[in-house]
Amino acid sequence: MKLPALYALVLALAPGGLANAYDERLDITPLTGEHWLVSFDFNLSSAVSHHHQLFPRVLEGVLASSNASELHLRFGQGYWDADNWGLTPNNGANVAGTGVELWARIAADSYPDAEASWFSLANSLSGMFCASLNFIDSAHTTSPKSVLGAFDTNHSLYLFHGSLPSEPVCTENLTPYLKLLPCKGAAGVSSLLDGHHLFESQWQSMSIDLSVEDGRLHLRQSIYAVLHVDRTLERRINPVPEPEPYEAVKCDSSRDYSNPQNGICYPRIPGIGEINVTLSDLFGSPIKNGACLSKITSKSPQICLHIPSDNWSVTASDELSPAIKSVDQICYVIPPDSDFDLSIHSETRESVLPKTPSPILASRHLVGWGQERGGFHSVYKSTSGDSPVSFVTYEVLPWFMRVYLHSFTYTLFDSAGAEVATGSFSASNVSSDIAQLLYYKPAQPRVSPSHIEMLLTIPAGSKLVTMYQFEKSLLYYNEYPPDANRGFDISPAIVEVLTDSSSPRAVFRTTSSLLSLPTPDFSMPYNVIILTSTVIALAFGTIFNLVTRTFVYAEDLPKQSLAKKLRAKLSKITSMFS
Amino acid sequence: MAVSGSRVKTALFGFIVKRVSFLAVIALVVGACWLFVLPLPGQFRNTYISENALLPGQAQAYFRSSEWHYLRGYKEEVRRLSDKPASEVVESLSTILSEQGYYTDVYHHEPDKATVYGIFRAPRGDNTEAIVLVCPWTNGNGLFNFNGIAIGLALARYLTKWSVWSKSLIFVFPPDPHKSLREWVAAYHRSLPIQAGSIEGALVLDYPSDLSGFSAIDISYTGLNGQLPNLDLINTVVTIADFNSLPTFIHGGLDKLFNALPSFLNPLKSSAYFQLLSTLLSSVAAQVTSGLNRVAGCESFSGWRIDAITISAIPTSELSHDETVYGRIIEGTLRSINNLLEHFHQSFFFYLLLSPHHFVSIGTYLPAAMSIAGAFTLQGISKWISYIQNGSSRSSILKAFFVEAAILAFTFALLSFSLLFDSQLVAQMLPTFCACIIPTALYASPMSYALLNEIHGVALVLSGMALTALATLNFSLALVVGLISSPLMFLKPGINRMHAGILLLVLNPFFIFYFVGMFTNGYTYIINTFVSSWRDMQVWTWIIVMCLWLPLWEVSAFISMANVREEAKKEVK
Amino acid sequence: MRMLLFSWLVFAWVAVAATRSHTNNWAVIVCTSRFWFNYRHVANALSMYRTVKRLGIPDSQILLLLADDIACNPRNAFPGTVYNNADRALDLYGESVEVDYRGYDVTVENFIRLLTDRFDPDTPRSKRLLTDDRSNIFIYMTGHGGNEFLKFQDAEEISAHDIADAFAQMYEKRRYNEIFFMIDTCQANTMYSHFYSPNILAVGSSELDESSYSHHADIDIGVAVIDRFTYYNLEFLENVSRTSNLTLADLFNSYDSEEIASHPGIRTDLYQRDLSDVLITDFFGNVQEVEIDSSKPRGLLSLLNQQIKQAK
Repeated sequence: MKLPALYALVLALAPGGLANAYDERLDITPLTGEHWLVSFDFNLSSAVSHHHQLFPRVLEGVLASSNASELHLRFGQGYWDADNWGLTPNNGANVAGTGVELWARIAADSYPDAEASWFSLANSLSGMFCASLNFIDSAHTTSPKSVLGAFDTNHSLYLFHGSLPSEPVCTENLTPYLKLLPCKGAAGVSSLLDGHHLFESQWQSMSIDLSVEDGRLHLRQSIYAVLHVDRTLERRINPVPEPEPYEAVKCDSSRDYSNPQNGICYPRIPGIGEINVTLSDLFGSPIKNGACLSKITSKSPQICLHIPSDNWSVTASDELSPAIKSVDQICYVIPPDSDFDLSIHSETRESVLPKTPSPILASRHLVGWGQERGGFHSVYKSTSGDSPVSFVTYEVLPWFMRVYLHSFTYTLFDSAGAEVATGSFSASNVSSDIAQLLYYKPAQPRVSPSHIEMLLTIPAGSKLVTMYQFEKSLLYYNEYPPDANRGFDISPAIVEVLTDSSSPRAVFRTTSSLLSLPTPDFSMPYNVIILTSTVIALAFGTIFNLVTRTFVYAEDLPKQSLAKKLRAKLSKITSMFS
Repeated sequence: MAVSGSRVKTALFGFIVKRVSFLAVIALVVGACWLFVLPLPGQFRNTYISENALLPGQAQAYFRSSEWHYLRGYKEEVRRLSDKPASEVVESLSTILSEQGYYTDVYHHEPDKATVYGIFRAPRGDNTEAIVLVCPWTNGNGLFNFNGIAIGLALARYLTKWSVWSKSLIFVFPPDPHKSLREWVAAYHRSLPIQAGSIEGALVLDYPSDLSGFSAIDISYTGLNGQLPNLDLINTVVTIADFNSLPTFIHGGLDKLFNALPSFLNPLKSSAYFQLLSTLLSSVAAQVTSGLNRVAGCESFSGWRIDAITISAIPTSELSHDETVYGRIIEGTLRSINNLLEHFHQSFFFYLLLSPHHFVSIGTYLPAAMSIAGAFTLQGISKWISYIQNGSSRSSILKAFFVEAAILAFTFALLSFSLLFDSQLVAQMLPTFCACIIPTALYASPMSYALLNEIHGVALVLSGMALTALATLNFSLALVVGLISSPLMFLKPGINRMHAGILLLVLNPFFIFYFVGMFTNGYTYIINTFVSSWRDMQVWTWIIVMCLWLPLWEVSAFISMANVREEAKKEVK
Repeated sequence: MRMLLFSWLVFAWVAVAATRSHTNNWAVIVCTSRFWFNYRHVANALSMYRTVKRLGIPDSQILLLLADDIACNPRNAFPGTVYNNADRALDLYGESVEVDYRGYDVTVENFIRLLTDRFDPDTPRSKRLLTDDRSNIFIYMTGHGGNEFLKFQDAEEISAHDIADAFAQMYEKRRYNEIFFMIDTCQANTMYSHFYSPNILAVGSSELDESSYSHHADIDIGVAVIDRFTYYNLEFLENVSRTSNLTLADLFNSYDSEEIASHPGIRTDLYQRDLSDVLITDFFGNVQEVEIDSSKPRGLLSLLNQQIKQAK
C-alpha cells in the first residue's frame, strides 16, 4: 500500500496520541418569512495515527488505498434562490450543486497511475455511500485548473473532478453519511437529521470535506437545507395539502369585498404575521442527548438562531438561558444527558436579518430549438454598487455537445440596461478586458468531456450576457440510457468569485440543464429487420428469375399434340434414371 | 410478366396508357370520398392512453371546497381590473403572482403590449423542465377570459401548497392568445431573463365568462402548419373529464354545423355516423384554418416541439358543473404531465379525431390527400403521353420547363409584393396582376398543341409532387387545396374559351376569397389575415396559395387561353 | 472389529452428509422497473427487504437493486417514504436503508456479474455476492416480464436461460447451498422453467399467458402501491418471527389463486428437501448454525453425538 509522500511525512513527524478535536453546531437562519435555512456543521480533526477512535476507519482506508490526500464529496438537490436568499452558507465552500460531485487530490508518479487511483476511489465511494459514483469514468473526469483549490497544488498531486448531475439523493446516502459521525446520528445535533424531513426541503446539500493539514486529518461534514416552514408545519397536521376547513380560511381583510361568510376570500399573503414553531415541528423530534456525546468531546454542541432578537422570542426546554444573546443572534449550549427543544415565536415572521448578497447572480440555460444545434446562454449580474467583480467560470460539457468556442460572444449591459460593449473570441484573441479564456480542452468523443474555464470581469452594477453554440451528436444505439426521451443532464457550472484577499472567495453553482438529443425509435431495429428481409426476399426472387430464365411467348412455341407432350415428359423422366 | 424481345405487346400496359386520364378521375373521386368512409364502423379506432406513466385521474384532485372561496376572491379582483388600463392590469397581476412566491417578470414585445409571467420552481425537482399554463386576457374569439384568469390565479396559489412537482410551473398572462403569446414563447427560447428549462406541455385556459357554471369543455388541439400535440395529452384530458362526468367536445363540436343545416335533415343529425363525420370535418377545417381566423392559443406553441392544447369551458347559467370542476380538470392534467419522466413520445403525432373517444391515424386518412396528389400526377403523365405520341423534341421539353419556371418566378414575385406592401393595396392589385396571364396567352404567338400539353403536364406533375410533400406535413391543407384546384387539370388547349374562362374564374384563388369574404368579414380582411398570419405566426398557408395553387392556375389559364398552332391534332393511340 | 469401525465411520459420514445445512443467509432483491408508475415494484422489493432485515439478515448480506429512486422522487407526495399499503401505516424506507445498485446501475450485466462473482477489480465489497457453499440465498425479482423474459428498465431483457446458466455457474463454483427464487411479474412461472442446477426452489406469481395484477392504489400518491402476489406473501410473512417454526409448505398452502387473481407456480423437482421440513427462516432469516472445527482429535462417539445434536 503506497502512501502519498505528504501522508508519510506527516506520519513520521506527528507524535502519536494527540487528542481528537470534535465539535458540532446547528444554525437556524430565517431567510424570508417562509424559508428557513438550517445548517449542520460537524468538524473533526484527528492526529494521524492508527489509534484514533473517532475518525471513521472506512474513510481512512479509502484515503490510503487510493493515495488521496484530499477528498471532497457533495450531494445536492433543489434550487438556491440567490436573488432572495443571498450567498450560500460559508460563502459556498461546502455547498453542493444538483446531483453528486466528487473531487480529490491524488498522489502518483504519473497521470495514468493517478487516474487509475481516481477510478478506484470513485468505485469504493460508490459502495460506501450507495451512490452510482462508479459511473465517473474518463468521459466524466476533468482536472480543474483554476477552481476548487487548483492553485495550491504541488506537482506530484493530481486534482480530479467528476460530477453526476442526474444522481438522486435519498436516505440511502444519508445513512452512511450519519454513520461517519462519532455518535452515528443518535445523539447531539445529528439526532435531528432524518431522511423524511431533510428530503422534503426546498434545497439541500450534504458535503464531506477531508484533508490532511498540519499533521492532522480534518473531516468536515456539513448538511444545509432550506425548509419551507408552512409546508413543513402543515405536513405535521395533514401530509396531504387538503383544502382548509371553511372556518380556517385565511383572508385578507383589507379588501372590501372579502367576506368569508359569503364565501369570498382574497387570500392573505403567506409568510407574514405570527409564527410558533419548535424544533420538533421542524425536524420531527427534539435534540436527543446521550452519554455518547459527552464521552467524545468536552465542547458541548451549540445551536444558534440568527434572527433580529427584538422581533423574535425563543424559549428553550427546561427554561435554559441563552449562552449568547445579541441583536442578531441567540445561541444556546445544548446541555448533555437530556433532550433539548426550542420554541421559536414571532409576531412578524417576515422581519429577518439582511442577507449577504451574492457578489454576482449567475444563471445558465439552454437556448435554441431543434435536433441539430443549440446554445448556452449565461447571464451574470453584478450586485455590488461600487467595484468591479472578477470571477472564474468552470464548465464541463459532455462529449456529445460539440462546442464551437469561436461562436462565443459576450455583451455587457450597464445598470440602465443599455448595451455598453460586446465582443467575441477569435483564434488569435481569446482575451479582453471582460472575458479571458483561461483553459479550454476540447472533447474527445467517448473519451473526455469539453472543459472550459474563463475569467470574466464585470464593472459595478452591470450585467454580462454570454452565449456560445454547440452541435448535438448522434449516439450509438446502445449509448442511450433507458429513459432516453427525457434527455441528458449537463453538470452545473461552477463560478468562483475572486475578491481581494481581505474578504473570502465565494463559490456557487448554476442549475444543471437537460439537453434533448435526437433519439431514435427503439422499436425500429425490429421493424427494419423485418422490412429488409421481406424486400430482399421479394427482390431476390424476381432478379433470380430475370437473370436465369428466358421468357418466350407461348404462341411462339411449336405446337405439340397432347400425345407428343406426354411422350416428351416420359422420356425426360426416364432419362433421369439412366 | 417480364418479356423479352423487341415485340412489345402492350396488352395491359396499353390499356392503362389509353385511360390514364380516366384513372386520374377515379383517383380524384376516391380522394374526395375517402373522408366520408372513415366514420363508418370499423374504419376508426377508440382512443387509449399509450404512455403508461400518465395515469390520468388516479391522483385525487383537491381543488374544491374552501379553495372556491379563494377563487371567488380572485374573481372579484379580476372584476375590479376588467376596465382598468393595461399597465395597471399588468402591475396587479405581477403583484398577485409574486405574493404567492412566484418569480415574476413582464415581457414587453410591443410598447403597449406586455405579457406577465411567473415561474414557480419545483420545490424538490431539478428545475430543468417546465409546464406552462396560459391565461390570456382575451380568448381566441376576442371575449374577456374572466374565469380563465381567475382560475389561473387561484390555481397558481393552490399549486404552491403541493411539493409533488417534478417540473416547474409557469403561468403566463398574455393580452391575447396569438401574436403576444407567440412572441413570448419565441423570447423564452431565446433570451428571457428568467427561465425554467424546456417546456414539456402547455395548457391554455379559456373560460370567457364570470358565470360559475359550465356545461362542457371544448378541446382545440390543431397547431400551426399541420403540427399536432401528442394524442396522449388529449386522451388524458378527456379521461379526466369522463371521471368527472363532464362532456367534452372537439373543436367547437357540432353546434355550428347543426345549426347551419336545414331542419329536414334532423333525423340524420342524430345518427352516430353524422356526428363522427361532422367532428372529423371540423377537425380538418380547423387544421386548414389554424392560425388564420380564431387562434385558440395552443397554436402559438407550434414549432418548438411543445405539446399544447386549449381547454375552453362552455359557460352556462345552470350550475351543472361548477368552476372548480374546471380547476380540477387542469389540476388532474398537470399531475399526469408531472408523472412523465420523458417527453411525450409514445402516442400518435398524426391523427384526426372523430370524437373525443375516436380517432384515425395517418395510415387511414392519408390516402385521401395522396390519391388527390396522385390524380394530379396521373393527369400530368397523361398529358405527357399524349405529347409523346404526338412527336417529341428536346427543345420542346426545355421550353416547357422554362415556361413553368417563368410562371413560378412570377408568382414568387407576387408573393414578395404581397408581403412587402400594405394589405389594402395588395388585395386590390393581386387579382389584376394574376389575371395578366390571360392577355399574355391571348396575344402570344401560336404554339403547338403538343407543347401546350407538355407545359400543362409539367405543371400538373410538379403540383402532384408538391401536394404529396404537403400531405405528409399538413394533410388538411393538401386535401383542401388539391380538391379545390383539381378541376384545373381537366383544361385542355384549344377548348371553348368561354367555358374555360368561367372555370378559371371560379377556381381563381382570389375569386374564392372574395366569395367567402361576402359571407364573413370581407375580401380585404381575408388577404390581410393570410399575410399577417405569415408575418406574426409563421403560418405557411399564404405561401402554399401563392406558390402551389396560383402557379397551377396561371399555367392552366395560359394553356387554355393560348392560341393553338393549326396542325393536325393527332389522336391518342 | 475392523468391520464395525468401518461401518461406524460410514454411518458417521452419512450422518454428516445428511445433516449438511447452511451457515449463512444472503438475499438478492431486485426491482427492475424504472418510472414513477412502477412505484409498486419498488414497494414489492422493499417489502421483501424489510422482511428479511426484520428476520435477521444484516445489510452486509443483502444486495438490494432498485432501478429507480421512488422515495425521494419529486413526484412523491410523501418524501423519503415508500408505502406498500394505502393505509400508510408502514414506511418501508425507514431511517436506515442500503441500496447497493440503484438507477442506471441495475442492468442485466451487473445482475449476472453479481450472481457469478465475475467482478471488476474495483468493485466494492458491498456490491458483491460473497457467498460460499454453505450459503442459502433468497433471490426475489419483480418488474415487467413475459414469456421467459424479464425487462430491465424498459431497455433490455434477461431471459430464463440466462438466469439458469448463471445459477449453473454458481453451482459449479460452489457459491450456494440452496437457492429460493421468487419472482413476481407477468407470466412469471416461465422464468424458472429452464433451471437445471440442483438445490433450487422456485416460485412464480403467474402462469404462461397470465398477468400478475396490482392489489390496490393510493389516491394521494396516485399509483398502485403493491402487487397481489407479494401482498399475500407479506400477509403470511408478517406472522413469521425469528424463532418461528412455520415452513415453506405453510406459505405455499396459504396461496389462494382467486385472491391473487393468477396461478402461482412452485418448482420443486430440483429441490431435495421436503417443503414441510424447510423453515421460512432458512431463507428469510439468518439463523446460524455454528460449525465447531477444533483441531483436538475427538472420539468417534462424541463426534457422532455432536452431529446428532446438530441435526435436531
